[in-house]
Amino acid sequence: MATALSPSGSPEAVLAPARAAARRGLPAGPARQAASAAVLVLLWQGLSDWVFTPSVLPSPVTVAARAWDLTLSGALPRHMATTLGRVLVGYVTGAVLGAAFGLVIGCLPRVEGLLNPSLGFVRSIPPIAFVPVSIILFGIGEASKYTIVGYLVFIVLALSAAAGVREVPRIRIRAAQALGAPGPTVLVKVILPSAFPFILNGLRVALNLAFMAVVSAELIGARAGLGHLIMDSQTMLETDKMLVGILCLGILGGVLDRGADLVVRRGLARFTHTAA
Amino acid sequence: MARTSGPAGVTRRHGWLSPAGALVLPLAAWELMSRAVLNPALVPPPSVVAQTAYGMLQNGELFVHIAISLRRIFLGFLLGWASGMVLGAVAARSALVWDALRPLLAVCSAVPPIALIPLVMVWFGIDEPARLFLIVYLAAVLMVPSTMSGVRNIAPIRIRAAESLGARRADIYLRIMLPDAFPFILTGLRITLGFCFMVVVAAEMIGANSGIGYLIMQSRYYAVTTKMFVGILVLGVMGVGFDALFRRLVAVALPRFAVEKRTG
Repeated sequence: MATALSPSGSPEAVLAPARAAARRGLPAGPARQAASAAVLVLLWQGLSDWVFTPSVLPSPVTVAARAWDLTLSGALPRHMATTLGRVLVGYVTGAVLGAAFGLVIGCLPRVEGLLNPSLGFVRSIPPIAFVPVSIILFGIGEASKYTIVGYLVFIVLALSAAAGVREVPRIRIRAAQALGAPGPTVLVKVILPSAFPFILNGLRVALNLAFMAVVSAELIGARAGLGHLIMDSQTMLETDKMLVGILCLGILGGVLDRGADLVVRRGLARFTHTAA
Repeated sequence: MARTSGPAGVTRRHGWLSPAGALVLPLAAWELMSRAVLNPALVPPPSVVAQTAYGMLQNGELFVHIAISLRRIFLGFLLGWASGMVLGAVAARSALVWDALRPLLAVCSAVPPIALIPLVMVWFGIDEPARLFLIVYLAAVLMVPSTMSGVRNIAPIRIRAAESLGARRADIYLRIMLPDAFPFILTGLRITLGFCFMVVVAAEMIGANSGIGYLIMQSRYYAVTTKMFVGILVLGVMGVGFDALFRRLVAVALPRFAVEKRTG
């Protein structure tokens, strides 16, 4: 037990036993994780071969073969592109409008006081509950998907931008005003950059939620997209195809998340520490 | 945060007027939108929705669905939370467990839980075990990382001090690590509860025969949009209620953890 204790509270404290294991000749760290992954896949293969029927748990080999087929036929890339397109269109529209809306109401405390409770209320409703409403209003096509994603991103961004405006040091605004800056200039040159860490935080949260929203919308009513692929496979009991869809969603979500992380760390590092 | 420093400090002066306006104005806007701009049959005005809700409260229909949804959320949440916390605490202390867990956890946290609903339905049908499995799984997956970061953040000197004073391993887990990691666990708990709520509703919409999500979906099939909006509003009340309840519980029962950051 004592090996786990190193002077700092860093990951070192966790890695110490790994080094102890290495001394005993066991593989540590990445090697051990790779081994664990391999065991997992073997276990999956074993379970599907000997315990479950293929319609309950298809083997990893079957799933991989199915993924290859679906890629060659062009169906998988098409569904992926559809889902990705919906996320991006909804996300960008919702983010731009939401951030602008949040900045403006953040500057108008009376309006914000009136709107904030309803925004908070609507925000706490699971987005999937709005899917039937948006299908009724906008049909089963792309418009209803963009609306669901855009609406959710809009609310998250409006709330975080308004919160960001609240935290802008008043002296910065006063200084700009004292130097004769007109309202719009103060908004764009002082308030926007000062509130940006909050907006950035909202953007990160909203990306995950947007992805979740698009999947919900596609599961409940869509004619294309990975969510539709998954739901469609359930109706036909094609579990291998369903697993292909689920894993592709995981990959797409993971790549989006990592990509966003990278953009934030490389390009927007000056905004990542909270407003002072 | 103190609001006095920000531009929004002004809101304080409105007193009771502001909360009343915040309630009345959006409702009035919705009523007007629904009657004048949209089709009231598609988006019913709040007055009609309130009437329907009242009727559903009187005949007990609403309570049944609410109770079922609540039971699903909390049962699964408690089971998943407990197992996720134990796994997270062990994984934070043992590199072997962490290495073994990591590939699985990476896959599980990348896949959106809602996408698993159809798969879980293939495995368990649309009965109760399906939802239970999904929620336990989700809560566990979400609790492992937050517990781990809590445990990793513990000042090692505390554990060493306890060890040198002869504390047993169980004592270290319960008396040092649990309270020390608690602020992180609480944060994780709140996020987890929110996600569980979201996924239970999704699961009820996609495959169930009771619960608020089912109510919404069923109303869609019968084109009873008022009931659909009652369901949506109930979800909002539940969501806000969870959050308020959670904050209250923390403030009353665990005041020492209400402060986010403490020094080691």
